[in-house]
This record gives sequence, structure tokens and C-alpha cells, in this order.
Amino acid sequence: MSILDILNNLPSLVGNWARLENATTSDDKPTELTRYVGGHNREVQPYITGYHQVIFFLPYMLFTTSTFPAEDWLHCTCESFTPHTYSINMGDVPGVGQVSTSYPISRTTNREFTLSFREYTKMPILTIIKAWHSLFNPLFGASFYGKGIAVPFAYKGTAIVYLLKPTCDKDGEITDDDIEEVYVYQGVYPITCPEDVAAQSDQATNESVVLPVTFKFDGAPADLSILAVKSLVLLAINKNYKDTYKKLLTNV
Amino acid sequence: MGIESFLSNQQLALKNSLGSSTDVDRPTLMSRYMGGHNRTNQPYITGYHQILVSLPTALFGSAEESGAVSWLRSTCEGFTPHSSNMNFVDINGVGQLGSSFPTSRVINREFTLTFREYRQLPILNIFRTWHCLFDTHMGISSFTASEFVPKNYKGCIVVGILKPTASGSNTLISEDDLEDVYMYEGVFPTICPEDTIAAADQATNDSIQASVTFKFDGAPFDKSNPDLVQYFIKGMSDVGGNYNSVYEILGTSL
Repeated sequence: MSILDILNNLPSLVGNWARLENATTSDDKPTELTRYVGGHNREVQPYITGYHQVIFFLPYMLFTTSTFPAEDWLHCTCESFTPHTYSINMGDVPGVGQVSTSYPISRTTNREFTLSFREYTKMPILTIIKAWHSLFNPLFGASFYGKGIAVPFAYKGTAIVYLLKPTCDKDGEITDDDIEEVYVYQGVYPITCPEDVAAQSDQATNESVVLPVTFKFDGAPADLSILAVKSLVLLAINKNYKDTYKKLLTNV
Repeated sequence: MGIESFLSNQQLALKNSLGSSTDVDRPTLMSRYMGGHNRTNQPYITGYHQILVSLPTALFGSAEESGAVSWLRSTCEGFTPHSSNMNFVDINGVGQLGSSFPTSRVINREFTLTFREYRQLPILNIFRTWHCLFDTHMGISSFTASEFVPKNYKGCIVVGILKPTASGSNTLISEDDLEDVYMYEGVFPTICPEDTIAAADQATNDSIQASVTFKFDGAPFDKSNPDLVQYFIKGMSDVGGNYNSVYEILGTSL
């Protein structure tokens, strides 16, 4: 088996190649040298940020016994997303006379991402994160879980972050054409409880509040380079833009 | 059009604009006097512009487009062009001696057209439709992902700056009537003039003009491009840009 055969059979590499191929099949690109892409008769469009969606699967033991729709609140109020970072660590090998070379030796994911949520009356977002942090009882310092159930299954969750085009199909549903990128974070747990931002108060200013919450996750996120991810995340979102009209038209 | 022809076209336009040194009637040297009846030159007069509009059919549909184009052409009463600026880098010498070197040229990529609004609000509805690229209730586009490309939402506007004359046969506009022309490509309106048109106060009753600022891409072509001159003249002819046609309406009661 050649090295190329081995590379061809690595799932993530094959997926990345497929994505790269799809990204470069369009004939319409910025013009060489000038990089100009203006004019009205264009069939290519710059990537636009800000159309993300978030789906949470909260830990079974902490949340699903409650009737409180925590996953929906997190989905509906998430206004921004800052992803994880990847970096390559290099090993430097010096030669004679300061000649040196560098070799990639490992790849590090910082295993953190941040979501910002708009807070509403009755403080649902703060309450959700507080409930998640209640894995530990701050009054006596230990967990209220019995030793048999204090396991990640009971307190870690999954978050899927969709980076989308500002589009949907004619029925208002998100299709695979609308997805620019997806991150599936597993083993998710919030690092911060935004108590200091949410409960901060000064009578001289009256503001609406956005709460940034940083989450830890395990391993590395699955993205669209894993071919099965797209069908999985399309099943998971199961929401429709046109539902907005149900509320808008209630007084008509 | 290459670099050489771009410059040479500008030089040719300049030459045509200046005329020869002997047979062109200019303000008199020193006094700058231009009076008297025996003159063969004339100050430039503003306010005789015409526009050609090409709207994105994916947003307007072919039937609606023709009506919308006619309304825009018929009601456009004002035009403010783009601006073009040169950026400089300053190099200082000893004792505050300074020199400046041009580093780049910047077009602000905006122009403004002003339209008179009529009953049933055609102008407001045209720009509402154009802005319908985004559904304001859903927050995303009315197009699908494959439709969401400039070809389907950007347009093209050509603005002709004219003399108060129509020198072509049967009062058509000819090349002689054209002072300058701009072709803006990749055009999209930045504002929907809802706040101007729908504002109401019972203490005052007015007719309304709506100013709409458009973004465009790159830089506009101008009169130095001979193809554009012919494009505009033919375009005005194709859309029936004939001053005589005013009599068709005036004559209906005769």
C-alpha cells in the first residue's frame, strides 16, 4: 500500500479533500492579480458571519427531569460564538552556526469555546448555568451526586454550533446548502457562571445584558470534514425559520 | 480595456473637452469676460440628467422589472455622483521640510439618486422589493443558498449628464447632447426611504422626494469609454427616450 493509499483511507483527510474540491469547483472567483469580485453579474458571494445556530443536548441527570425548556432557551438567546483554536507545536532542531529547522510534533486544541446569551426576565440563562454548576454544592464544597452517578454522563453535555448562510429553502428549513461549517462539541461543561455580569447593577445606567459563557469540551470537535456529520446535524436542528410568522401573525 | 487604452482614452476625452487652441470660444484672458451675443460657447448647465436602470430580475421578476425601471427613469429628479480621492504618504525632511507622494486612489463607491414619489407609492415599493433580499421577519434571505449570489440581487445604473438639447432625429438624444456619462455596476440601494416617504404631519402637506444612496462595485466607467457613450445613446433610444413624446400626452384633449 502506498502512502497515497493510506492517506486516501483516512476519514478526516478524505473529508477535507472533498470539501476543498467542492469549494474550488465554482468558475466564478475573484479575478487573478486584481482580486476584484465586484459587478452585478456575479455567481459567487463572500462568506458572511453572524448567522449561527446552536443546539444543546444538556446532561440527563441535571436537566431532563425538569420541565423547564433549558435547551430551547440556550438555542433562542445565543447571539455570538467564539470557536476553539488549533495550533501546531513545532520542534526546532538547531544546526551548526544557528542554522535551524522546525518539525511539527503535535497538534493542540485549546478545548474551549464561548457563547454569549441575551438574558431575559426571570433570568433563565443565569439559572441554567447555575443549575449546571450545581454539580457541586458550594455550601459544603462537595457534589450532591452519589459516587455511582458522579460521572460525565450525568453532568457533561453536547453542543452543536452551525455557521450558516443567511438563507433557507422555500419551506423555511435549513438544508445542507445553507451550512458553511458545523462544530459538534462533546463533553461540554461551562467554566464560568456569569453571575458577575448578569447580576451587576447600577441605578445610573439601565441596560439589557448579554452573558458570555466559556465552555470546556473534550477531544476535538467534529466538523464537516467528517462526512457523516452533515446528515447528523441536519437531523438535530429540526427547526424552521417560518415559525416566526406564527408569533407575528397572532394579532392579525 | 488595458492600462494604455485607459489612459489614452482619458487623454482623448481631455483633448475633445479642451478643443483646439484657436477655434474655441473661451472666456477672454485676464478679464474672463464671456458676454455678448456673438458667442459660440456656452457655460455648462446642470439638471438635465437621464438614467438607465437594469434591475435584478430574480428579485423583481421580468414583468415587474419593466414597470419598476420606467418609474425609476421617469421620477429621478436629482443625482449626486461618487467621489474620487487620492491618498498620499508624507515624507518629512530636516526642519519640517515635507513632501507628499500619491499612494493610491479611493472611490467612495456611493452615489445618490432622488426620486419624486407618486400615489400608490411606486418608488417606496420598488426599494422595499429590492431590500426583500432579506426577509425582515425571519432575519435571513428570501433566496435559497444557490440563489444568494450578486447576479440575483445587484443591478446596473447608467447616468447620463446632458445638455438641455436633443440633437438627434425626432428629438432623440445624440452623442452631441452628452456632457458625461457614468455606468455603475454591482448596484444595491443602501437605504429604503421609508422614513422620508411615509412620514406624515397634518400641519403640512407636501409632495415628497426620496433620496436613495446606492453602493456600487469598483469604479464607474465614464465618457472616456467610447463604447459606453454608444451604449447610453442606444439605451435611451431603445426605451423611447424621445422628448417629443410629451406631446402624445398633451395632445389627448385636442
